[in-house]
Amino acid sequence: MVEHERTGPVDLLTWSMSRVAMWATAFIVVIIFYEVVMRYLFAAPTLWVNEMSLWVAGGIYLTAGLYSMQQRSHIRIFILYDMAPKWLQRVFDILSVICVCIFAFAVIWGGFGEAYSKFMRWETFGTAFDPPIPATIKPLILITLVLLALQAISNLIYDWNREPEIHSPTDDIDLIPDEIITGTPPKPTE
Amino acid sequence: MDIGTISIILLLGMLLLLAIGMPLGFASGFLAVVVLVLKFGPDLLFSNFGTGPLNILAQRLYGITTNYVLVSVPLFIFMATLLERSGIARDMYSSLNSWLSRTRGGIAVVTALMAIVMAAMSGIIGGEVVLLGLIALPQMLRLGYNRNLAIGTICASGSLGTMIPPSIVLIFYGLITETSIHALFKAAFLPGFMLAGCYLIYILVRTRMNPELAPLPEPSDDDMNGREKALYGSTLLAIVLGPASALVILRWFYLHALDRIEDVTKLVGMNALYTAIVILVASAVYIFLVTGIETARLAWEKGKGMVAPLLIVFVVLGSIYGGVTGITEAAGMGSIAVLLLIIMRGEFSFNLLREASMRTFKSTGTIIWVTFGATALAGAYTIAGGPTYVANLIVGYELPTMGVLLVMMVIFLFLGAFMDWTGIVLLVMPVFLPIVLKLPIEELGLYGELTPSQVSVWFGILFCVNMQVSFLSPPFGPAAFYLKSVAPPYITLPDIFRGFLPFICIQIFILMVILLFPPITTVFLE
Repeated sequence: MVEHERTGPVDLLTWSMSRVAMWATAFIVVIIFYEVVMRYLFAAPTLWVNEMSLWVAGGIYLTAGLYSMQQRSHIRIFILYDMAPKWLQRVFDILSVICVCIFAFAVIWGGFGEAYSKFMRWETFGTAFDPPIPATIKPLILITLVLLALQAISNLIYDWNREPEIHSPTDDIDLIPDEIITGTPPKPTE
Repeated sequence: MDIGTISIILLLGMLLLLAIGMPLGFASGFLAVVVLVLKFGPDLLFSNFGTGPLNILAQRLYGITTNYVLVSVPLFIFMATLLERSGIARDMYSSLNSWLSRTRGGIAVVTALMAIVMAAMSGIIGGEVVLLGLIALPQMLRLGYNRNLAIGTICASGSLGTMIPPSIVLIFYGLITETSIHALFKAAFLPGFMLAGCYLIYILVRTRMNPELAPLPEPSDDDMNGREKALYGSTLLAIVLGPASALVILRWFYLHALDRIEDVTKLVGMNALYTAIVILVASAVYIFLVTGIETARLAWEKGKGMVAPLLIVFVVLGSIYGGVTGITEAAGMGSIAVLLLIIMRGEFSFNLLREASMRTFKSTGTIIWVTFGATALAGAYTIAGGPTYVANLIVGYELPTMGVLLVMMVIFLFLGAFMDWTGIVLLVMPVFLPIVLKLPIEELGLYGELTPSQVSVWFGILFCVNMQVSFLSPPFGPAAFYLKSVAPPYITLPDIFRGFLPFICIQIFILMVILLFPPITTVFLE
């Protein structure tokens, strides 16, 4: 996968978070496999796998949104944007960033009290395994929104003088390596 | 402010923000704030820090974050990215090819069949079209296939990923409308295969009416004649059925020995045991005494490319339909199955896993945050009374029921030409579905009755077919761009869209059939 380059100090934080969090999907796959094997082969279903995957997935969604923001890959419609001259694109970008910030501000304004009290009470999920999902995910949502707003501002600053590019739906598609298509075995990598 | 004005401001604001290229999810989130401000006024909203009506936003985000079915989305993406990076698809293609290349239009049929199997493995499109474009397009062009037929086949059948279960479109529809995703998957089964079947029939009929569209390849020594195909085919069947029944027998004894039989446990009666033993013995006799080991080995060589993908389909769809596991676990098991196959094929590397994880992470972020924004907006609009207002408005005009539905279909088709399906399902559905649910139920469709709980399932399937059209419809049908990125340079975008025309007609035909005959979607529902 070709990654968008790193452009500023905020990106450093985003990248280091995502380098860890990107493995979480594989982790969920592994624990679900463990659960299914335990349940059907050994008749010993676990209590913790369902809620653990829920908890971990919550972390994935939030950090992944941050990473997508850094990669400039959030779903947008480029029809008019690509046609506009650079100065107008800058106006559009500024408007977008302001809207993102207002959204983040409003969510935090409304949700801070609840998130804070749940974190202080260390509220748990109320089940047998009882992970502290409300106590962690609720504050994490607000923290992610702060970081998202910062990332949006950082993108605006670093993209200010970037050459306009034409977007296409294929931006989201990886090039598949030749050896997969032609059937020649991949070269061993050191 | 009254809800009518708020609705108009919302609509205009959305158009404006989308036009300036603002990310869909954040545009929705911002508009959710706007709706709340218009409804409650800034004084009430911002009087106390940390609380107030604005809390609905954080609550909606938290609600979607802790939804167990949503966990299946990154897992399905993970599985699809792994599949794309393995040679499983390529081997299936060459395997199918050796069986069908001497048939008129055979490569197109192979392409469509391969797309159908891949659609039953994973629930997203994109990679599939690219993969088919890389594998099948060069061969069809080399053989002198009609270009429109080749292009249309690749893109139309490559888009089936979101129609044939498991389908990510249906997962999101189910999440946002609180419809059972299990029911949606069951309902989509018949329409999905009807659509795929129509593609196959179209290819076969057209190439027979006009053989020049699909020239046959030069005969080669590897070609099988009819008798060999029957022999190898039956041997292959025995090779698959034998071990499968052996597994059933093993499981029978295992479960009985541990005494773990419950009422819902299937295939544990005496009949199942006897049938399995008979099949096992018959397969063994056929392989060892009738055809011989050597033939069995050859048949395996010719057919093994198809066995692996079908195994994955069995794991994923079997877990969902058989009621063994939920959708999330099915996606997890599918990923494990693909991973194991990749390891067995010797293709596994740390780099492959890392690339797939990273791609999954990025795609998850894009798709989930549209959901976040839209759910915040839906929450804000609902407490402002929006959906009820719109539903009453439409129903109040006493328009003919089928007329309202037709208009909705046209709106979906129109939006689909410009917008991603995620945006449509998340933003339009919360308004449209309440309207449909308020329409007189006996007037839905021309033939057949729906029960109230089936209406939202039926409408979800209609939406799903609509989105099939949107992948192909100009000017922004994503399938065209996916194919363009891997097609030879002399194939232009207008060329590609021209190839889509007959397939779009088929899709609209199926859409009309489902619209007029709703029971097609309820055949497999209780």
